[in-house]
Amino acid sequence: MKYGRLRIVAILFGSTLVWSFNSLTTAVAEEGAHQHGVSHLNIAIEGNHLEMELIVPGSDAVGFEHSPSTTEDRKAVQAAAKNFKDGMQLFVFSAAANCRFEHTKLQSSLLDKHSGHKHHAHKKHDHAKHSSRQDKKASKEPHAEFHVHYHIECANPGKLTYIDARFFKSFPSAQKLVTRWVTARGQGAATLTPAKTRLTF
Amino acid sequence: MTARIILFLAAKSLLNRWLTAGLTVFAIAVSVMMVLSVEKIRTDAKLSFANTISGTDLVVGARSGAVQLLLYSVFRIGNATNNISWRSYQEIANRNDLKWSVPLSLGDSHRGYRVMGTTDDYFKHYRYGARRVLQFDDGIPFDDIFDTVLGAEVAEALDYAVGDKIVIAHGLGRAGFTKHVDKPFTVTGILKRTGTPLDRTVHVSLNGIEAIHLDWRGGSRIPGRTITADQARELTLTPRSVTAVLLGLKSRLGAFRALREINESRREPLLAILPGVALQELWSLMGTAEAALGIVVLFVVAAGLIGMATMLLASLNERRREMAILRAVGARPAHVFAMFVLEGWLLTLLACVLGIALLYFGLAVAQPLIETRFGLYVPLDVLTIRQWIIISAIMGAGTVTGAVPAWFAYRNSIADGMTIRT
Repeated sequence: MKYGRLRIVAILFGSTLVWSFNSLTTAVAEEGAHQHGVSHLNIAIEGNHLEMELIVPGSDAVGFEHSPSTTEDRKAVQAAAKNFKDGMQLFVFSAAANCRFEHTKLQSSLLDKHSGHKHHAHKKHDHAKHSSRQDKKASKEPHAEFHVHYHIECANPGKLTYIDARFFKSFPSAQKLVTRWVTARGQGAATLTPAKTRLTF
Repeated sequence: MTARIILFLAAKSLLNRWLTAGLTVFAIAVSVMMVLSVEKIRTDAKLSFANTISGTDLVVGARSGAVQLLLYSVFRIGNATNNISWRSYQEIANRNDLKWSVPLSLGDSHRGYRVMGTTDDYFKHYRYGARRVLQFDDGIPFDDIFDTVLGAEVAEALDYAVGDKIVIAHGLGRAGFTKHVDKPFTVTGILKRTGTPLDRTVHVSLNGIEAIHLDWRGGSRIPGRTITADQARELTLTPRSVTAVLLGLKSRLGAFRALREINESRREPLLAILPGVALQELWSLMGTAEAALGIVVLFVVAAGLIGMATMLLASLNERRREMAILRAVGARPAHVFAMFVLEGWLLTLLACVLGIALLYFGLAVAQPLIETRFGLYVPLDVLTIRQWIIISAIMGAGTVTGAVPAWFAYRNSIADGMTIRT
């Protein structure tokens, strides 16, 4: 009886230790590592300015990471781009903060019409020659991502207490949004999921 | 009225069995003390960690883990796996998005306290708690190569004053038999107590760190090569490396860009972290260990309360006469039930009072030890709301536990009244 209890404690202790080591390794894998299902959101606030960076793996945004080769692919990329540019639909700020999306910049190798087009149109020989040059660029970034940069102005940044991520509605394949923030009140981090979409500062 | 009589009877009855009751109370008191101290250390540790660094936007070190870098650079826990070359440091320090940068060089010790090489910018830009500036209790920042500024606890524990000469040992050993005896340092300043690892740090200039290692290579003195302190002053002492760099940005908006650029630097593998974010990682890490500790403590409390129930149950048989007398003078079975519940309540109450007393006694004794060993300042303050909630929960559990023997006593007292037994 006594040993039984001891064993339970030992098992609990052991498993939590293993668990904590796991969380250590995953926590350390920061945005450098491309992981399907995991998007990143970086928020920096200084005065009335708010800069927000959203990094989404291609697989989560459009379902593929190769250069768009078919009309459907290109349509999917265009649709995703439209979604990304509409920041207001992706993130809702506390109303009291009175925030406005000023401008948005979207970058992705998938949007590069150049590569997608030429790959398709050329003959096989040309294709091989061409891609060897292209490969240098491609090998540097084997996983295509969408980088979106939002510039937001808040009339009342002190009242910004939360951000709701509707992002998961627009991109159902996304499972995690790893968020980090830097504000006058300090720095912090949180992981948002479709079940927990509110980020509280 | 009846309640008071029953409580009086319960107390009297316990007093009659003072030894077993006392031991039971003590067992529960120890568990109460454990729960409360775990809770206290947990909250105080978090507070002390969170208060150690503020106002620093980025910390840069050699590539390792974010938590590891934070621990060795800010909390002086563990050691760096690698250093940053001086050229890389220069490259970082010359970034034009910086307001300030402070290099840190760790790895030496003075009688068990860590020695940190830095620049006098450290005293200007380092912030702790709610953006508080470092203040000098006595003296001024270092100026000469062989000047040093002590943390409050170093000065207090080793009884140093401004003007004293100290010898810094090579490496981190307490014994430190390879001491840099020929180059003593003069204490120029002592910092005010901050309640952070700073209190246990000996601060010297980067050049000072470099100077004591001039004629040392590979951890031991080079025979036939000695450089006097004055000669060292004349040499240009450009450090070859630093351990970590603290950065303050002009604008927070550039934080993530700076982070990325430093992390992708070509010269050598560097790691830039946001200290607040790394701290949060540390919390989530500790959260699981905390939960494990909580479970263990819960078992300890449960064991204490089960002990109490056992004690009360075991006494049932010998107290049959007591019950019979009570019944004979007009006590109802319900009164017997109430008496046992009250006994449980009374025992738990005494245990909680004793547990709190033990907690404060233990803290008073262990406080200096905890501070020197773990650098954790545990103030003797009033109990927190959470601690009171824990105490009430234990009180509730104790009273409910008392209901178990009470139920048996109640049944017995009915049965005893009707059946004749020897």
